[in-house]
Amino acid sequence: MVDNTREQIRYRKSCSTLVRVGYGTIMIGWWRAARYIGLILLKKSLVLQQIRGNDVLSYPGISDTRIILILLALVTALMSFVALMHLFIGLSAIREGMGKKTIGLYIPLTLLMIIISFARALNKLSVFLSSLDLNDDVLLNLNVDIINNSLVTPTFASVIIELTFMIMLTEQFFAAVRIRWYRRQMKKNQTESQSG
Amino acid sequence: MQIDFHYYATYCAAVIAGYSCRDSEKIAWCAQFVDRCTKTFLDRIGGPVSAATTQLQLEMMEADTSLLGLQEITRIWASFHFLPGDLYAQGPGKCSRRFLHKYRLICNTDSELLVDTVELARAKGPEAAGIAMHVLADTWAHRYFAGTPSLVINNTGYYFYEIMREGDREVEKAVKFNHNPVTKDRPDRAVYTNTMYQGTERSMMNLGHGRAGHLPDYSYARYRYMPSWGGYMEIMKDNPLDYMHAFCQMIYALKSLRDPDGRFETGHYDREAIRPWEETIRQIFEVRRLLDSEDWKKLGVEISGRALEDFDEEKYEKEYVEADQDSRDDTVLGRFIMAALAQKSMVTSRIFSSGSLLAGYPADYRFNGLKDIRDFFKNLIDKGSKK
Repeated sequence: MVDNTREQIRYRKSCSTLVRVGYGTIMIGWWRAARYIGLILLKKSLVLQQIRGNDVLSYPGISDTRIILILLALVTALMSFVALMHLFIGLSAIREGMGKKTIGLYIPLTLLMIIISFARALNKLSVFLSSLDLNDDVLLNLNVDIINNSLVTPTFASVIIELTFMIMLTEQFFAAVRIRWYRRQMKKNQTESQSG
Repeated sequence: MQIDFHYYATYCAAVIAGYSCRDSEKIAWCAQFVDRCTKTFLDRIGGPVSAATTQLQLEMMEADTSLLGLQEITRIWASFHFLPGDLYAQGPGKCSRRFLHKYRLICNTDSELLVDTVELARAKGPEAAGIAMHVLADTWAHRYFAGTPSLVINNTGYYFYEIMREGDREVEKAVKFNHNPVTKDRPDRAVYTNTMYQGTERSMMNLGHGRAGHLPDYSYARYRYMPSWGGYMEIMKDNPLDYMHAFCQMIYALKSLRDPDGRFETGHYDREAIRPWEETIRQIFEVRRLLDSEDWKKLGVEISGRALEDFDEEKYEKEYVEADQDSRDDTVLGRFIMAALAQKSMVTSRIFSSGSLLAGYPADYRFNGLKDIRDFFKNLIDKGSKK
């Protein structure tokens, strides 16, 4: 009753990868949403500074609190969409890994996310590196005040997370493709053995 | 395995093997008592705590998972419930030494250690035989799990399917595990309780077959799953077949123990002896029920002509407590304790000889100038030399 051929072991490994990475995709979605909402709540002064300093966005008649609330609502709505997309992709991957029926739409969405993630990771890395004042002080004392006082400059941690996410999505994509290929092969073998 | 097999089935096996009803009761009592002899119990009766053959859930919760604590845990569980199958097994491909030592503790049947376990009980009375039968039976139920807390060995995942019979066809159902220890297992719905996932390698949740719940202990269960150590390999566990093997092997082992010139060998199962009751025994194993004590009890009456009394943990306690220090070892509990110490020492010694420190240092190492179980010296070596 057990099948421990090399193909079956590889297939199960891919399924296991897909399930694990699926959970990771969901968690990254929640993290992203929490990060951007947290950014507005914890760095209100910096946010207001950016908005007030902008000719297009600044409205002298509106209070700071209102601006923050409007921004929070917009970011929450956008981040909810992002988190839901992560949830859809993650859950689909988990279902596929567990052998349940799922919509194949998550595979091209994963590919799209890989491209976006790659671009984000590159961008974050270049901005991060250029924002560092690589003098002896920074290297010896790990002085990150420059980064903490900026809204847009990414931290080293967020660069690592973006890169990790990109690798995860790549694993997810290849595991999904492999699983579908194996299933097609298994179905083909089954049909051949039944007709033979 | 549970009380239905360790107590009632062992009684039946002992009677079939030719033991008197009285001796068969003792063998069965001792076989079941291996699941009750905790440090707490021994402390209460004034016995040596190092003879503990199991741990209470509370003891496990409070257990120290430092190196020494883990060695203590491994000594108990590997010696009595998860006898290692091959202490010199090659690892599954490239692996670290730490993983290899744990991999070698995986329980399996028909091992050299099993031969040593049964031979250790030779000419030692029904108490030692009972302990040996418990260990033997558990090698069949607890195969593929190790008696040491280890995530990389004992973990299981969502890939767990039970094979059930619906009418005249077999169907597979994905097993649903929940972590509430209060809820009962639901065999009709393939819903079982297991220990919670803990990412720490040495967590007590990863001891033995905790991650598979009680499934290995249910005689009706047939399931396939992917063990953590298997490298995505699938394992099929057929408990009705394994339990039948365990029962037949117990009869063979008990018969060999009765023979003064006998020698226990692996791979022998006395199927002839069970022929008059084979169908009844097969049905007991197949019925989807959490405990089969009543059926085994009835079979015991049919085989021996008398009913086995319900298991009483304190049956021999008074005899032990009231005996004076010098004659305690001649009581039933005393002989059980000595046999348990001998079994623990033997297994620890074998594990140590294989190059692993997972069970700590064995008693023999005393002669090379290292500390060891004080109680063991006091009870086994010193008293043995006096005799």
